[in-house]
Amino acid sequence: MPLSSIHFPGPTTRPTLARPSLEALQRKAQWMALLMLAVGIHVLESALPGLGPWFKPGLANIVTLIALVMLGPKEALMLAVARVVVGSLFIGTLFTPTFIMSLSGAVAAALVMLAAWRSIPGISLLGVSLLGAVAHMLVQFVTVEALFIQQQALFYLLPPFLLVASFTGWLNGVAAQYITDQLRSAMPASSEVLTGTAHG
Amino acid sequence: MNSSPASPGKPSRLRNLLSGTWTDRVLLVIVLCGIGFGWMHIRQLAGSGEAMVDVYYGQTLLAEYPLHADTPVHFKAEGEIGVSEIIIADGNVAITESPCSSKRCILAGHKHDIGGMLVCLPNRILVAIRGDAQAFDAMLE
Repeated sequence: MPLSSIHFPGPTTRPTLARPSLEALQRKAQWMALLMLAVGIHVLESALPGLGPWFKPGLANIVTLIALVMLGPKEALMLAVARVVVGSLFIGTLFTPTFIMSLSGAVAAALVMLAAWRSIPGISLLGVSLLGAVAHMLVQFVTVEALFIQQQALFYLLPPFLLVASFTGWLNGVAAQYITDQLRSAMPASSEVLTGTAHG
Repeated sequence: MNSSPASPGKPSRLRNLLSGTWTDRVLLVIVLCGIGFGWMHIRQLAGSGEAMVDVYYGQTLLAEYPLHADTPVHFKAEGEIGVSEIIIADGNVAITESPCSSKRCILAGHKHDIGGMLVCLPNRILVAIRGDAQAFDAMLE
């Protein structure tokens, strides 16, 4: 076959790949870094002695709060889900009752925190974290009662657990507020990102 | 977002950070009042009188013993993944053996008050101390 009969596609027919912007890549990198941090805290928390059958201080929620402020609601929700799934892979509880409780609690907490952040005027990360901790605990109890131990007497345990959850939720909010304040002062150039997502 | 305002002194900055905004404080008061009210309500419903120990697997009542029995009780509860061993003696109840991996139900120690509970989630076993039967039943309703 003569060489001239072969059709070589010209540069105009070559498919072009859309390159993500530097900002998009930066946000993905930030999300990944926060995810790794959250997974690390999740694994560390599982090694701590528990205060009860399913009580944890919820330190990993601090990272969700930071993601909410730094990256936005969607990313924060995705981070909460990914943290539980990846963390459960590491500690070997994937698809166990513990995993189902963690996932239901984390998703409920994230949704309540996003709603509070968007809709309650004047709220700071302390209030957001408080509501998230309460929602986390409530949904965990409902999940246990619905799926594993169908005894409403379980709810007798709820008030003391909610009290401790409120306390730890408030403190986690203080930590998240402090960290975001520090980030804001350390990165004045990115302060728009840090404050731009508040209330949608 | 209402972040805590920056202030020159460290103690006041910490105080600002810990106290939150007015909205946060109102939310905290609402949550604490709700918890307090719920706690009192449940305490009333749990009743008093002779303390009984109920052992459940899921929604099935496996056994029912008085907490202050003359002789110690050693009960083997067949659960989802194996047998949980429960001891009732000297006015205390505890889970002494469990097939779960975390053993949190054993680490929870013993319970002796009305309303005290031991839960083994993987094995779906609940050990609950209840008081007056009628009031407790009302709570379950």
